[in-house]
Amino acid sequence: MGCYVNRNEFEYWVTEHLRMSGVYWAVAGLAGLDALDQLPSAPLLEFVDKCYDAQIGGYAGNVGHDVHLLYTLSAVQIAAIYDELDRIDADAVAAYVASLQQADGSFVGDKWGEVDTRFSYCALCTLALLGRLDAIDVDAAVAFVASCRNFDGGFGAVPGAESHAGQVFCCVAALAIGGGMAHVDQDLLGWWLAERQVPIGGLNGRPEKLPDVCYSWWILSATSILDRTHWMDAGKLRDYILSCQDWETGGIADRPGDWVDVFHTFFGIAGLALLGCGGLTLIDPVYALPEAVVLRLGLPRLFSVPPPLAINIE
Amino acid sequence: MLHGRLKKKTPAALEAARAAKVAARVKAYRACVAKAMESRQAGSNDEAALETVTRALEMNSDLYSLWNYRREMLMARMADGRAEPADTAAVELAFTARCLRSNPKSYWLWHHRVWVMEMDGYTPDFAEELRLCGLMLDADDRNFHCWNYRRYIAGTAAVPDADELDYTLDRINANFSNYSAWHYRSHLLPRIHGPDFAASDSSFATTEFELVQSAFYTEPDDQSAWLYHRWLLGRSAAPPRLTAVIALPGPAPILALVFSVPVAGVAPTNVTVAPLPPTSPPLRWRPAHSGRLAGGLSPVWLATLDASPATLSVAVNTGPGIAAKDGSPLIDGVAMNAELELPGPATVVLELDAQLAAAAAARSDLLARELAACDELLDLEPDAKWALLTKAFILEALDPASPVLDTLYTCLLDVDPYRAGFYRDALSRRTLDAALADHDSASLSFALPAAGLVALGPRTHALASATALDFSGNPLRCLAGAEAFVSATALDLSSCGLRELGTHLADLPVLASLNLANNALHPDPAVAFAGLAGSPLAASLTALDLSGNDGYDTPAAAVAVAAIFPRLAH
Ligand SMILES: [Zn+2]
Repeated sequence: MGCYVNRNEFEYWVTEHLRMSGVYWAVAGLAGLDALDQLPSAPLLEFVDKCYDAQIGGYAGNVGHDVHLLYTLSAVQIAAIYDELDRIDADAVAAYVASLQQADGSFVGDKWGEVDTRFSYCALCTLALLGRLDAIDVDAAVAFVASCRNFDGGFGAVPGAESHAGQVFCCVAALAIGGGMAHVDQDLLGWWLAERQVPIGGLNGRPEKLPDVCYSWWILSATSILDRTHWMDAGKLRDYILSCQDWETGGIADRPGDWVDVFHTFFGIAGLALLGCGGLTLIDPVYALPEAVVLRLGLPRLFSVPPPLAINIE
Repeated sequence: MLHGRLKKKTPAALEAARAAKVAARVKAYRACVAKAMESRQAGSNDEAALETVTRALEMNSDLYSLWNYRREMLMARMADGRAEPADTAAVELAFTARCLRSNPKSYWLWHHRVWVMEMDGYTPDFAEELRLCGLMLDADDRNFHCWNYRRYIAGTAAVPDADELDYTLDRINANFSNYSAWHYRSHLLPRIHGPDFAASDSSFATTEFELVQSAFYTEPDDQSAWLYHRWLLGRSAAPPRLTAVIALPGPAPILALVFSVPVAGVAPTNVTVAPLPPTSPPLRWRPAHSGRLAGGLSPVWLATLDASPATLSVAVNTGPGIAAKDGSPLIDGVAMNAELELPGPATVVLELDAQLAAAAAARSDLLARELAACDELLDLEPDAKWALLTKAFILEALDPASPVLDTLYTCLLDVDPYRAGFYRDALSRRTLDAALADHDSASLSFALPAAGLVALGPRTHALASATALDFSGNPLRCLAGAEAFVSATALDLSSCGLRELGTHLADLPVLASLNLANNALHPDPAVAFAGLAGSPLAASLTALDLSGNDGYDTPAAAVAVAAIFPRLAH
C-alpha cells in the first residue's frame, strides 16, 4: 500500500485529532489485502492504550485529545483485528457507551451533546464487538434510528435530516445489529442506492452530487446487508474505483487524479471485496471488520455478497 | 480524509519554494496547537489561552478537543462573572461564522453554534440565525449541515411550518435540482396537511403536482424531482388481509395462515382455533419467513397442533394486533374464519371483498393524470429514463397486468443499463405474477419451467397450498420466497444455476422430494447445504436428486449428504 500519509504535508497534521480512526483504516485496509504483517502491531496497540481514559471508559482520537464515541469504536475495532480485545476494559467501555444514550434512544457522541445516527452505529457496533449489547436499551436505539427514515427510504443524522449514503450505512448496519430490519424498506432504499451510480461508474452519496470512492463502501455495505448489490453495475463500479488508484503511491483517492489518503484507500479496497473481486479479504459490512475477525468473535453474518466478478485484483 | 484535492505536480524549480511554504505553515500550525494543548494541561483560562485556541481553531475547525477546552473556559468565565452570556455569545457567533466561511462542513463547528444557542442566560436572535443559514445556502444550497441547523433553529424558534415551506419553494424556484429542499417538503407537507394530503383533490395537492411537473419538464434527466414525485404518488400499499387457511397432515398437524402481504403480530390473542383440548397450551405461531431481512414479518404463519380433531374452526381477529410493515392493520375480508377437515391437506381460500377493490380505485384518477404527464414527456423524448420508469411505477399500481409494463422494463434495460439488475428482477417478477394470475387456486400443482425467472419472491405465498412445484431451468439468483411453499411435497429446482441452497427451504414442513439436478452446487456439501442439518427439511426429505453437480457422484459425498439429510433413501 506504500506510504499512506506524508508527514511533510499540512493535511497530515490537520487530521491529527482523528489518528485513532486513521490507524483503524490503515489496519483494516491491510487486513483487506491480507497484508497485516506490513505494520508492526505493538506500537499501534500501545498507541491505542495511550488514548484510553480510564476515568471515563472511552478512547480519544489521539494522545492528549478528548474521549469520543467515534474513536472508542475505532479503538475497539483495532483491538478486535489484532485479537487483543482483552486489552479493553469491556465493563468500563460498556458503561461509558450506555451513559451516552438519551431518553429517546439516541446517542450523543460525548458529554457535549451532539446527537447523530453515526453515534447510534458506533454505540451498537462497539457493544456488539464487546458482547455487551445488554448494557443499553437496544429497542429504544432501534426506534430512534427508525425515526430518522425519510420519504426516499434512506436515513439522515437526526429526525428530519436529509438522506445521505454515509448515514444510510450507519443506520442500516445499526438496525441489522439491533434486529430492526423491519424498519427498512429494502426495495425502496435498495433502488435509491442503485440510483447513486453515475455515468462514470462511481457512486455519489446524494442525488445530483459527484461520485466519491468512500460512497462505494458505504453504499455497498448497505446493499450487501439489503441483498440488493445486484441492482447496480458491479463491473463499472470496480473500474471506477481502480481508476482512482494512484500508480505512484498505490493509494486510492476520492476521484481520479486527486490526492490519495488512507481513508479512501481502505474504503476502495473494502468496496472491491464487496463487489466480489477475488484476491481480497472480505470486510464484513456490518462491523466493518475482516470476515474472519467477525467469525472469531462468534457474531452473526448479516449480509450477502454477489457471485465473484470475472477479474481478480492481485 | 481528503476530498476534491487535485494531485498537481509542482514543477521541480518551484517545488523547493512550495515545500518551504508548506513547512512554514505546518510549523506555525503545530506550534499553535501545541501551545493550546499545553495551556489546557496547565488549566489556563486567560486571554492568551483563549486567543491561542481561537487561532488554532481558525486553522483547523475540526480540533474537537480544543472546542471542548474553549467551552470549558467560557463556562468558567460566565460562572465566575468574568463574562456575560450575551457578550460571550456575540463573540462566539462571530467567530463560528468566520470559521464556517472556510469550513462549512465541519460537524464540530456547527455543533459549537448549537451549544451557543443553548447557553444558560442567553436569548438567541433566531431571525439572525435564519439569515446566516440563508447566506450559507446561497453559497451551497445542498449543504446538509446548514439545512440541519436551519431545521434546528426553526424548531427551537417555533417558526411556522408554512413559512419553512415557502422557503423551500424559493430554493426550488432558484434551482429545481435542489433535492435538499424537496426532501424538506416531504417532512413539512404531511405536518401541515396530514399524511394523505397528496391523495386528496385539494388545491394544494394539485399545486404540488404542478410544481413537480414543471421541475421535471425543465430538467427531465435530473432525478431530484422524480424521486419526490414517486413519493407523492404514494406507495399504494393495500392493507393486509387473510387469503387462505391451510391444514397440513403429519405426525402433528400443522396449521398455516396466509396473508396478502408480510405481517407481524400473529399470536393466540388474534387467532381462535377450536376445538382444542382444554389442556392444550396456547398455539405457538411462527413466521415461515425468518431470515435476517424478514424483520419478524412473514406472509405465511405456522403453528403445530398437539391434537387432531376431525374438523377445525379457525377465526382471525381484525383490528390492532396483526399488521403490515407500514403498521396498517389487517382488514376484514368476506370471511375471516374457516372450517377445515383434518387430517389435511386442506385449504380454505378467502376471496377479496368487492368493496375493497372499489376503495383501491379511488387513487386511480390521480395516477391516470400523472400517467398522462409521463406520456406527454415520452412523446417528446421516447427514451427519457425517468419518464419511462415513473410510468412503470404508476402502471404497477394502476394496471399490474398490463403488457405495457414488459415493454417499459425491456426498454429501460437499454436506456439505463447500470440498473439492469433492477429491471431484470422486475421482469422476472412479472413473469411469475402472470403465471400466478392464470393459476387455479384449487390446483395442487404449479409449473413454470425455463421462464427466465431470476428470483421467486415476493408473492410466492400465492402458492402456499400447492403440493408439487416445478421451477426447473430458471436462472435463480437465490431462493428467497421459497419459505412460503409450506404445502409442497415435491419441488423441482433442477438446472437453476444454484451454487448453494441457503436456508430458505429449511423450515418447509412436508417437503419429501427435492430435485437439484444439474445445478452448480459447491462441491462441499457443508457449504452447499449450510445451516440445514437438524432443520425440519432435513427431517422430512426422503428423495434428493444431485446428479449433474460436480463432485456429488462419489461415495464420500453421498455420506456427507446423508449426514445432513438422514432420511434419504440410498
Ligand atoms: Zn470521500
